[in-house]
Amino acid sequence: MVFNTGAALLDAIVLAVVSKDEEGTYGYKITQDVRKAIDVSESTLYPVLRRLQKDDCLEVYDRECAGRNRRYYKITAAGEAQLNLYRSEWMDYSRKITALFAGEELA
Amino acid sequence: MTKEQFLFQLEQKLLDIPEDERAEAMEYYRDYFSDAGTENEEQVILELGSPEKVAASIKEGLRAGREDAGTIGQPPQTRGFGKSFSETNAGRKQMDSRSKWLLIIVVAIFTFPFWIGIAGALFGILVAVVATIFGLAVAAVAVAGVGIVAGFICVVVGIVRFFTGGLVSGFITVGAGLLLFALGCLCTAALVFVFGQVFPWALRGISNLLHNGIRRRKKVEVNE
Repeated sequence: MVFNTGAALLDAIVLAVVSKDEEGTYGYKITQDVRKAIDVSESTLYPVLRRLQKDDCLEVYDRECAGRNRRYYKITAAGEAQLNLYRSEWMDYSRKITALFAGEELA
Repeated sequence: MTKEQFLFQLEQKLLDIPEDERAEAMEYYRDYFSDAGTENEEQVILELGSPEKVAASIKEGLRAGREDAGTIGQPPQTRGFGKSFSETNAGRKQMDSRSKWLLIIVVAIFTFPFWIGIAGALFGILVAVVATIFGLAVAAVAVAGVGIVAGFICVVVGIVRFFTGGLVSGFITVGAGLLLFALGCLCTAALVFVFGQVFPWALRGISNLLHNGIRRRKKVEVNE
């Protein structure tokens, strides 16, 4: 990957991935899903998840799975709001960059 | 390195962070290994790199988290994609400023028992100062009026005494009268100076202060 993924974009991607599952999803699956889109090392995501949890964008709960507890991450209302903000910001950002690359004149 | 060794070494590297943070992180990576499955164990260890690297990323996250945790009860901080983004995001700024005011009002309500005492004391001091100035003014007017009138009467009585009583009592009465008159004139002059010069100056000063304060605050809001 030529372009860096900044902290904000990583937050947005993680929120988008987690929000896909109504019931929430777990660390390993989040990592796999994020890596479908961008190239991140496996140790990158835990700090992001922890911070989003502290910011009240994600909530965690344990669910019994195959005889053990697995930690699930679920998006909160505040997280949804944050994700929506990221979405609109991204649309604006990517539209401008795309237009610029296409050689169009920016307003 | 096995999964157990990796997790053990990771825990050792995390001994200097708070216990709940360590437990949280260990649970995550234990889950991670379990969910990857034993067949992928080596692959996961290879990709995670080393326990040192994982521990460093966890600590790095904690440091960043602490910086952001400076505010309580505010919406999570938005990380702009670029600097210019957050700068042009006027809508959010407005919301921030509104929630800031809301916070100030809520704090004001909750600290009511505390600041009502201070406000009462300040109001009391203000009333006392105003009453003192008023009392002094009334006293000065009285002294001025009485001094001039009584002084004038004394001088007249003294002049009459020159002819009826004698030189000594005449001088004493005229002298006392002139002193009283002078005191009355002094008070009048002081009153004229205070009400004619100091009072308007003080009023202008206070109104300028209030005016500037409001204007500056308005300016700040516009700049935000």
